[in-house]
Amino acid sequence: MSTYSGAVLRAVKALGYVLCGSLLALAAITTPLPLKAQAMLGVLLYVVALVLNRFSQRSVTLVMMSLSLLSSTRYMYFRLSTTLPSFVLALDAVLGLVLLAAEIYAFVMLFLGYFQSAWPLERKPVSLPADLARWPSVDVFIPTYNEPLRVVAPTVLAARAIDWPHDKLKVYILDDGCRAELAAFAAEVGVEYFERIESDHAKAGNINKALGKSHGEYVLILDCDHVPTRSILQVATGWLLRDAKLALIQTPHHFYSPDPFERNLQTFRTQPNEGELFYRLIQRGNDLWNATFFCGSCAVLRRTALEAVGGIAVETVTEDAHTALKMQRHGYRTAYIDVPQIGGLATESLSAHVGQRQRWARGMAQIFRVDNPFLGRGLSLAQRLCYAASMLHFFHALPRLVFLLAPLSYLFFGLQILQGSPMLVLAYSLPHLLHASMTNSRVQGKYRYSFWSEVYETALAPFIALPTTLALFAPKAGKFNVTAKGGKVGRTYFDRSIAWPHIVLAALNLAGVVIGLRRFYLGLEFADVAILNAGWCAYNSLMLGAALSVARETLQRRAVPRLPVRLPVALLLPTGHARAAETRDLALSGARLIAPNLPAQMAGTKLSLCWVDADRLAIPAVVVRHEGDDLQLRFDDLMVDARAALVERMFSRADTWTTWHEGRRLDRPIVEIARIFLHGLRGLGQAARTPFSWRPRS
Amino acid sequence: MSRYIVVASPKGGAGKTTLLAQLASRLSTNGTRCLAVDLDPQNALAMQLGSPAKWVSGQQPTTASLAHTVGIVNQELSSQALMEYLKSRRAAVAHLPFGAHNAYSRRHAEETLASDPQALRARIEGLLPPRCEAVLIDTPAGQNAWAEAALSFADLVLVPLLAEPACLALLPSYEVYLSAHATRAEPKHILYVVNRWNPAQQLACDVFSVLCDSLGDRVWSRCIFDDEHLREAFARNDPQAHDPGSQAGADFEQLARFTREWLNGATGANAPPATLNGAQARAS
Repeated sequence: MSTYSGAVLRAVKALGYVLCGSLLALAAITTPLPLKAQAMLGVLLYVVALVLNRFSQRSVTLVMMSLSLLSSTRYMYFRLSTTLPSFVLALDAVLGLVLLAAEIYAFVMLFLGYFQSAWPLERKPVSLPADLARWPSVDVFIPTYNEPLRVVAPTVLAARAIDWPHDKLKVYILDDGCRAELAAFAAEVGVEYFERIESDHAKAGNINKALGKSHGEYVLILDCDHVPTRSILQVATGWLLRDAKLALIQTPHHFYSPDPFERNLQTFRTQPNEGELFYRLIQRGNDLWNATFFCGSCAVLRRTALEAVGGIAVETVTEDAHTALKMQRHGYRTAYIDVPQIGGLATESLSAHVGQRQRWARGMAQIFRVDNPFLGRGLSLAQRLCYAASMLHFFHALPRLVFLLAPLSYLFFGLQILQGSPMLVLAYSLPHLLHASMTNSRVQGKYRYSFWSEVYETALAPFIALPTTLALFAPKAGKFNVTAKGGKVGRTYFDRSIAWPHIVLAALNLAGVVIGLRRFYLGLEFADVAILNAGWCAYNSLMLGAALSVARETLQRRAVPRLPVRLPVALLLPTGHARAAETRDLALSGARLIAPNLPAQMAGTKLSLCWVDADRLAIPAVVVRHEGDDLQLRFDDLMVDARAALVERMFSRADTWTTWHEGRRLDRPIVEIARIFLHGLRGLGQAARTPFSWRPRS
Repeated sequence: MSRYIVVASPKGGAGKTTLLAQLASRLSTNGTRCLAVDLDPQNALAMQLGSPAKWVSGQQPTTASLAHTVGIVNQELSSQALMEYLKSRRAAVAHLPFGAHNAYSRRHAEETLASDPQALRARIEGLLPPRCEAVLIDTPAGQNAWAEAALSFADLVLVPLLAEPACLALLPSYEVYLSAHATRAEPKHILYVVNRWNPAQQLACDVFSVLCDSLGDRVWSRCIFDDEHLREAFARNDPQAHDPGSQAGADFEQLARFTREWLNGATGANAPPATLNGAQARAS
């Protein structure tokens, strides 16, 4: 690895030690303060943080992280020393400990999160040798199980078009479903085809069998719907050639279709999606600590490293992260390059999304049990912390449920799970929350807007709680379920089967709000406690409402990938005219164009679409719609080279995805919380409006 | 110092005159001072530039009634007379027709060419408008004295071809011909352009692949589409009408841009930049 990241690593380590030292010193000074003093301290620190936030240097970020951790440590110390319930009241004590455990989890995750994103690397691609003869051989594996051909075909065609010496690139379709049409397609386009009768260990077994039958020095693994650009190998392989101990180069999973949150909340392209935090920040943060892990696709791996650990891991259902962990225990390094080089399909419905996260959660819990990163040899402390952060993230379900139910313990049952004056608790907890919010907005704001983590976690929590707990105690239970890709939401409907836990929780919290307000307005004793808990319930209700608004599946118009592409094209009309036009979007099923000065109404006309640059071919098309200059074409039954040409123009340009994230507004926490609350109101309204009857999931 | 651009082709009907007229028209519109010269006895250039012969119905056309009594083949023509002639025709593009001729005047002109190769160039330079940057010369198809004379002082040679087997068959001998006569132009400034391009015909695509294989960088990566619009505009006696939606028009515009860059000396080699990976290979 270059000296650059080594020097940065040393600098950050030094800074880390200094900060740790000062943190410890300050923690020793965590003397409890009376209300006024604590409030003033809180305000002072907050103002300092506000001023610091004006400066954009990374070192300032580290200072702000320290301030946030200081506030949070003060709060935890106060919590632990002052507010634990006395053990006289047994139920109070148990629930109080449960809440405390949840808060400790949140505190640990805060710390680990800061650690992981302390200094994200910006690794750039490095060049390959000038002599092509020294470029290595690469196998491209495209494992598939039951995905239709129209999903797999673009990936195969784009893989075939990767810029690499022809004799050193081999594309393999690994078909676990033994489908004849895939075999025929492979023969037609000239790629290799492996089929597997037995399907043990699913994708991991599929890849391992193919490893035994292929010989490339490196392996590029692509999910069957992840379409690569032409430059993916040139971007990724440079580092692998320079560092013999580098086992993995991971690139981001980039989605060009909206995930359920983006589609149902209509935030596609205007707001960072759920995956961006991980792929654009956390993995870069991991890269500093040499803790990048394999994400199952869009990565180039060294064959010898894979063979050294016995192939892709089969012991857990997140075989990808586990394989990386094993490779690192073996002494290999991993790296991450944040240059999106593939385009894939996001999960198409909330239920599919939940299914995918359940698998990840179960897998991570399994790894935690079976191959715990804190135990065993081969990992540095930083690596252990990073892996732990990623795994512990999936245990957020139970703490989230605790936070959603905690205020009800007082409002419904009058239980005092937290001792002490509410104002004092507020004076300690508010700075903790506000600092965390400000620092996270600064660190993560470009990749995840403030408070949206809560929405995502709330949406998933009821479904992940059980699998993670189960996997923690019985890792072998449960089976692998493939995430469905390429489906289509046929109509707009409210998915009650996904929404019912949130409906129940929201109803409970709304009841809590009502009870709390009643206590307050009736002037009963401990009205201040009641109003605080009611406020917490209101916040919970709105978060649950936002999660509910995602359950309203909106109609998905297209099942075929369609991308905005602007290219000059020529239209050959049957009259002998050649009209100049420009595409607006392209798909394998058709295209939308702008063509000036067309002759009269052309709907129904058959014509040929031709490129004006390379690729001398004419694509037969039919005009489906003609309005003014706007033309919609449909392609029927394309030949392979026409499909390949379309795929290349849609996906293969090296810069296809690099400008995807531009033009977004900045994170503004106040605006975001307001938007989430509006979504929340909308979601609660939608849930209330649908008739109260069980609707089977279609 | 004006540069000489010669359009020559091994086979008739490849679209030389149309290409030259479009090029001259678009260069003039964009501010380049140029002169288009017609060395083809057909006098087709004037028609393409919008000043056809005027027929008076019922009368037998005479040499005098044909509008091109003025021409390069007329020895007495002076630059001033040429300019007046062009102004009288309200010509948008400065051009020099071949002129009215008969068998005698043609043979006389060809003998002059044979005896004194520099005469043609001297003649043209005597007729140049002031500050002329480029001279575009149209030649008869095939191998003939006019083409050889023009090629001898050409700086840039554009060879329109049709993507059909007959053109392909003539190519090897024509390449030899060009290298023998186009002595002033550098080899990379002899550019082949596929004209009347129709990719819906599989044979045309195949021929183009063969052209790319044998000519490599010397064939322009962009083809000029076959567009009915050009013929219709000619029939309407308005061949210089620039319809923004016409693909052939867009292709000629690109060719004019390339020629402009060449004139400015910006690019000497084949512009636009290299084609997509394997495009040439994939064309095969």
